[in-house]
Amino acid sequence: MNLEFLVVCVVVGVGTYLFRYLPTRIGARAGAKALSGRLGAFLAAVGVASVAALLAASLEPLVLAAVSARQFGAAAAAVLGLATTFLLFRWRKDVALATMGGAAVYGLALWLMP
Amino acid sequence: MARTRVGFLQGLLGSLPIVLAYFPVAVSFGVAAGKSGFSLAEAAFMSFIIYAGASQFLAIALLAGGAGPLLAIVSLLTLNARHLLYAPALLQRVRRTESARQLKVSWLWAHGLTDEVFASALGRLAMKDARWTESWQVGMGIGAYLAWGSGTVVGALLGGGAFERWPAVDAALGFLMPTLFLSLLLAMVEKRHWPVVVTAVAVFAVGSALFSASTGILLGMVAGGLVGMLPGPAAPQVVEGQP
Repeated sequence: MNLEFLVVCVVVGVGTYLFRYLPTRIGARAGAKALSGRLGAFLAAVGVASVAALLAASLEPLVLAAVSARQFGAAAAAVLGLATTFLLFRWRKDVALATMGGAAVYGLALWLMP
Repeated sequence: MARTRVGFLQGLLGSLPIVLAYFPVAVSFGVAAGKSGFSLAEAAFMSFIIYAGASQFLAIALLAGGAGPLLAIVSLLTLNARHLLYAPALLQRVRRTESARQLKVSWLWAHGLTDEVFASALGRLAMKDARWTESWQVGMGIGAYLAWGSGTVVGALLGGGAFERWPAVDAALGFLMPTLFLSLLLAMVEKRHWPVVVTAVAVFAVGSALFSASTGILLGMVAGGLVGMLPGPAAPQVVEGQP
């Protein structure tokens, strides 16, 4: 393991850890007062917005492949998988079941497609 | 009325969808690291110490491509800057509970606060009983962390094509991230959130096209958060004792 690799990993690892950890200390000290009002509204919405953005990011490669390489079969399988996830969640309100059910349908659909 | 236990074991069991999603991606990372000339020890070290998927793939591309350490550090830290918002957003939802006032092991679970673990914690808080404990968070984090680390080691050992013999399984595992995020979004979202969701997705698309996917995520999060501050139906209605 060379020194350059080690330095990059340690600095980025420690920096990323501090990004994740320090706000838990600052937030805990500031207490409920600092996290209420407009900042609280912002952070509450950030939660929903982040999951929406992460969903879009996870679908982006599929969408780009469908548009640029005309991989419509994969896009159709993705729609089936996402619809399965939606229906399973509406039915059972179970995140694990909806996640794995949707992925299984996607995999099967892609496999069975000519 | 008996309350649902939300402890370490429940967190560990709750990490199963993330474990299934992480493992094949981590295997891919291990394979990619090996192909780029990194050893098994280096790939594993990076996974355990940085523990951030997208930036790890970028790290091997930058370092194998001859980028200097300063450029690599600045690029990777910029990519991971979105994590600054995760703990405040999570604690905002649990701030009125005992757990939020008395964080004892946030130094431990914070390392595991990845995109997916953060989203799963918000999903837990969107459940009917809306309970969250540090033990649950530690269990959730450890499950995901071990899946990522072990997947990296397996990938580095196996080399390419680990799942090629089972194409349906390979495809299904590759689609776990979108279905996980959709499930979590469905668990969290209410009618009044739609302006936030639409804004986040639209700004992500523009940010991703102009800069990078990670920048798009950060911009989408901030833009959605700003829309949530506007007066009107999108503004969160915080109820005492509820996230």
